[in-house]
Amino acid sequence: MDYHRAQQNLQLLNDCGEQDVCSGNAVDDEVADTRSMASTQIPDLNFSSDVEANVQDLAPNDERVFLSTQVQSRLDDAEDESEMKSQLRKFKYPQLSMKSLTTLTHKSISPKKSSQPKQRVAKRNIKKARSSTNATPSNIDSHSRSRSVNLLKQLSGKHSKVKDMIKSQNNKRRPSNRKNESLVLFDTYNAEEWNTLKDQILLKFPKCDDNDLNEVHNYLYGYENEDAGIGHESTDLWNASQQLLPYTQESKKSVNNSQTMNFLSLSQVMEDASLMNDDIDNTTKFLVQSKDHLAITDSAISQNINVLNTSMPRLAYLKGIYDGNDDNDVRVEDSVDEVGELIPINEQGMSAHPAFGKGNIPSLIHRMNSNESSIFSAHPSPEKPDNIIDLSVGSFKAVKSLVSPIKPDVVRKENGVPESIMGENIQVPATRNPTTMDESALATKLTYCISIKLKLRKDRVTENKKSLENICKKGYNFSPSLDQMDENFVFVDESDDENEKYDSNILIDIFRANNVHPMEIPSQNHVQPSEAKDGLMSCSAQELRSALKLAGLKPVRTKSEMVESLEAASQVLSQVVPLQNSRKEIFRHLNSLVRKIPDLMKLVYTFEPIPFLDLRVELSRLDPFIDRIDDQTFREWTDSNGITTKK
Amino acid sequence: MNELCPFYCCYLLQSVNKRQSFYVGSTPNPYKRLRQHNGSLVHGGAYRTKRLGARPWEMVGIVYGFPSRIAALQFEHALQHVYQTHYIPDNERIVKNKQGGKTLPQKLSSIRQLLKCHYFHLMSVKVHFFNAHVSEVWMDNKFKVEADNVMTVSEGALHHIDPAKSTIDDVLDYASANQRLVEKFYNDYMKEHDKTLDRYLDKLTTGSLACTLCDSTFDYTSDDVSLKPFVAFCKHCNGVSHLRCLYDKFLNDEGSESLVPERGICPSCQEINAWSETVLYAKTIKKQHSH
Repeated sequence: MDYHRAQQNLQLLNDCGEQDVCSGNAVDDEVADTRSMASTQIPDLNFSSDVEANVQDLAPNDERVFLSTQVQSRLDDAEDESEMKSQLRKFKYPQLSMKSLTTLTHKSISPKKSSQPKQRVAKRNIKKARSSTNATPSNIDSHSRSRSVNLLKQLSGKHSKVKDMIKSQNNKRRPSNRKNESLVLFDTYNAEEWNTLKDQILLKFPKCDDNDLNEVHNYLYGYENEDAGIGHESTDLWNASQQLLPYTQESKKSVNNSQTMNFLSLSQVMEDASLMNDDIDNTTKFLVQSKDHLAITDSAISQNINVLNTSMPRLAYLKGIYDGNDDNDVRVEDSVDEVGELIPINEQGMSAHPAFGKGNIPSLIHRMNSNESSIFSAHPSPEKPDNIIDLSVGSFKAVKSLVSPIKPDVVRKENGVPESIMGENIQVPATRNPTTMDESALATKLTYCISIKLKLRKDRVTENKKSLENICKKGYNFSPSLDQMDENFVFVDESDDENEKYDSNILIDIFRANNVHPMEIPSQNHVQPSEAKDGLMSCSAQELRSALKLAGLKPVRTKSEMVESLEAASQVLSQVVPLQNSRKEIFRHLNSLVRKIPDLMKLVYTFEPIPFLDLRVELSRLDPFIDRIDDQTFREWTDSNGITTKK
Repeated sequence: MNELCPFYCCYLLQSVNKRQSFYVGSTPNPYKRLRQHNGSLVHGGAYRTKRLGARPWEMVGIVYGFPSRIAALQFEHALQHVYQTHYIPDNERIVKNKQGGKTLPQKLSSIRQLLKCHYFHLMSVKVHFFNAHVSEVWMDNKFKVEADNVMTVSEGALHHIDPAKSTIDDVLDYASANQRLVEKFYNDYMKEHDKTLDRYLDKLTTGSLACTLCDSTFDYTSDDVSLKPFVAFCKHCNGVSHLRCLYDKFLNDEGSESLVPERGICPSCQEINAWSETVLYAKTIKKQHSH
């Protein structure tokens, strides 16, 4: 039997040798593969009875060699990998450049369908055709992943292990992809676009010249270039847009003065046509703090409007500044009825400029309430719908793309209503984060301190006002402002004061103990319970626990219970005391309770032993707060007063 | 109302044979209690003092004047656990562990610290020594603990004895002498107490009396319980008043926000009266007339 099998193998080898000679250089890949892999032929060591059947099966086919499936898959994978590499080299750069130039958005590239008719080819050929026709990055990626998945499955046979490996590989890929996207997709204005912007500004402000623009720039961005020795010529719009906003003493002073700083961004100056409306006489105030606190009167506004032949108060106001109006704290009025209302910009005003086609005007602008604008908020406000860049409030949002002023086609119209891409997307690059955030961030950290509203008696308003001014000088802000305190504060009558005493002593002491809230509040002030609760809730559980221990209150499990206990204690205490001395106040309160019970009083001053629990219960009937006092503190009270207790 | 006894004390025993052995206890009758510790009385006693070789015990000193048995027990417990009692602040604690505080100066300093505590200070307790050597150690005040309580020493107080150089007869004589001193002190105190109490009761038998502070009357001869309030007598004069009225006066004089005054000036004779002592007599009188 073995002899027969040896003969068959020799014959097979001879046949292969003859085919090699006949085919020469024209052999196809498969034959080459089989030849190269002939050494991997599986020797048939099975029973001799199977030999004949195997030989019969192999005889009519060209592939008479049994190849391992693992080897075959490796070969396929190697081929696919080489093809993918060549395709990636081919498509990578043209596709990305097309994307950045045309869409400017994050739209996934749709896979291109193959224009070639379907052909019935072998399975491997189909794969080749698909990879060649749909050679998009996503398809390439998915294709390579599927191939790798299949390969790993075949090699290991453990699906969970394969999944984990694929998952780890995907996690490694993601950051690098994001990095590449951010590098490619961020956009800034180039020098030509900035020059166009500058020209448009000068066109809108006929009386202005380059010096005025430079002055505006110097106000906004400071003189850091001159200080750095770069020279005055480099302070053009292009360079200014690439620089960090300086945090000057002047801006710091303005923050401390709690005045509004609503700066107009360049995009707003260019696109803002909302003020062309006729209803200028309404009362929204756009306060722009100038270097010299210049002001504009209504007459100046109208004058500038006439000169410019527009009705844009913001622009008029800017113009008024450089015309030399010296009034203080002047506002350009805008039409406002409700807070946060979004109104479309009048198309007529913007149509005057050739850069904007009629009906293609960015149209969203935010109306600000006069109260909102009059008080400087130290909280970093969320994104405002009008995208007004408030340098004092928050950092600029980095955007992926900018709309070029020399490419008006980016503004499109949908359903007949002008829709602005600029209104949604335009902001400045993230490199211009203002350093004024430091002050506001500090104030944010003390949010609960800032938002404390005080109840004052009428007769103490004057003296407390002075104290509050001192607090404000330290950087804390109150709402409403001090100027409006007399009108907006809730005054408590003497008769009602007893029922509404919410002492802030413990709260303040917690803040002091944690170096969080070092400010002094006059003893007459009382924190509203909700505000005090918010302040306490902002403290950590550890701080509250230590406060409870210092005050001699029972330890409780949850944070809300801790706050509740401290609130109850703050209502018991009637004077400003440090937290360490709050026990004395509690003892004083306990003494007053004992004096309210004559029988208990008699037992106390006759040294009659009183059961400890009975004493607690008796006092708790009068004031449930007693239940919150821990036993150690309660015993300390009995000892300090000579009350003999027993179990 | 709990059992009322005119004398409550906390005592300190020292073994005659083993001078480093001490025992702290409390009792309303120190003479009887000492005999129990020494085995003179069959009933009663304490397990620790029965140990072989420790007897006889010498009562070297007592702290007395507690207004109640509970207060005396509290003092005793605190003196037995000076390393952890809440009556002594941690930063002032001399004995800081259970094994410490075995020496006489430490024991006496612990007593001083407890007397300094406001709780016991309000009770105006007093210290009496039956041993001269111990009183000298008290006066030395090795640990510099200031306590302004009244301290007395018995006449003929014993001095130090060296058991190694003494015979058994000397030791027994020494213990008997100490027992006599305790007996004498206790009897004298009780006599004085009874005498004072009789004086007050005699005055109450005169009928209706007016409070020197509020001018309202009370009558302990009446059957009306409402006319028998707690009354306060001055031990220096014949002044009498409602205990409550005197309480308010003492608190006002002290100007403190405490619930219990320590002492006060009699409105009649302007002499100082301890509040705890005044209360003790008031309670005793009230108790006798309530039956």
